[in-house]
Amino acid sequence: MPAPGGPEPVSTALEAIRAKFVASLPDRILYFEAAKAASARDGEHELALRAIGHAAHKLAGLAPSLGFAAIGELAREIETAIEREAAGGEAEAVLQRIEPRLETLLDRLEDILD
Amino acid sequence: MRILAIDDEPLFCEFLSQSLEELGFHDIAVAHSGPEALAIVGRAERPFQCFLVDIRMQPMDGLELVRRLRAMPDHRHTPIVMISALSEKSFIDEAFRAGANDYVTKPLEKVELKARMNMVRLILNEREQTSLLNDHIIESEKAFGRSFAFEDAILVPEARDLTTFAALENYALRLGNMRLMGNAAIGFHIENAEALFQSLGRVQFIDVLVDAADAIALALKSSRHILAYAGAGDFVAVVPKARQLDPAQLQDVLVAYMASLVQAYDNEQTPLPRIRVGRPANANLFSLENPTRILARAIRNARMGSMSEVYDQAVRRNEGVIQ
Repeated sequence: MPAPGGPEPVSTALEAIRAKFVASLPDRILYFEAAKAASARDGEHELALRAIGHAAHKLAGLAPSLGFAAIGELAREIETAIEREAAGGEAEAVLQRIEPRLETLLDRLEDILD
Repeated sequence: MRILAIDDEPLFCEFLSQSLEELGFHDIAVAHSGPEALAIVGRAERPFQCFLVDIRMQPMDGLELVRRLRAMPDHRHTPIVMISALSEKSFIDEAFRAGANDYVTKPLEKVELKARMNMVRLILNEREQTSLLNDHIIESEKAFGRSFAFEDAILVPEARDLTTFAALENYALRLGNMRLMGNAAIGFHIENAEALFQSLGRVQFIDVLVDAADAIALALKSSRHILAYAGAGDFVAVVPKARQLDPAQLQDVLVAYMASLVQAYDNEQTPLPRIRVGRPANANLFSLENPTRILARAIRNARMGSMSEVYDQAVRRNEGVIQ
């Protein structure tokens, strides 16, 4: 029984979803890496930016719901930065500005797998 | 309750389904895109009773999906809860205007989901009452055991672009006074509503409400509004303050629209509804009042005839048509 006001116990079902999330991380990392690689190619900047933004959006909604708050926060920062900057900036420049945060996110995702 | 949850992240769908299960909802289907959701809805043997829709999806976003669901007769009034990672007002406004009844933010908290699902239950109860009302009312008003009172904020069937009063209250509540600052509420009162209710009976009174709702929606056409029927012949809309709606212009449209129906009403020997617009009510940032009070104030303004000179002028312009 949790203390009053304390967190609810994590159900077995939720544990199973968390495990699936962790198992999905290699694919998510590869997706970001592929988008990053595409972003270096001429003519693909915008597409890459959109792909990163959408993947970050999905991660930002899912990860904190499953208890990975820090991952969610990083993903949200990337999503927000892309939204904010994409409105007025060149895709290539936006990609360069978000790259450090994207690298940090990828490192954190890899930490979970270690 | 039959629920369809739509999110393009399969694991989030799974998490959402699990959370709903834990809250006691067991009849849940999921879709991972707008087109998939529409296909599931299209072949469903029994209509879904609630939709949970992620706003940001590809290729069809959640707002477009809501619009398409609302275009289906079975789902014009089905509760829709948007799931949004963002709680900015622009997203909330878009969601409510598209036809959503509520929203829940990611990361998903069970207590929050529970509160939103309680809202869904409330809407379903309202809807059930209206549905029972329609079923019975057609057969015989006398046999209609589950009547509605004049004061009831019923869901007006057939009226387009009209949300429930509960949903509008919820919109105000969810925005809070701070974010309501950019909005105003405008009330509309059918001055002779009670007399019409008494003389016409419920079936025809609903027709009057449909006409009034159409007139108000036309008057507010240029403004992105959310409109609801509040009962007792009162309508209330929330509109962006920046639009600077001119009550005199609104009143003109209302009077002219009703004047265009004068022949039809005469044929039925029914007095024309007299719809009065009220002075817009604004949110008070520094007040501790419940955000829904802005709706009550707008209604009160319309009831008090706060713009009666405007009404009189509009009637004079349509003299000869309106008595």
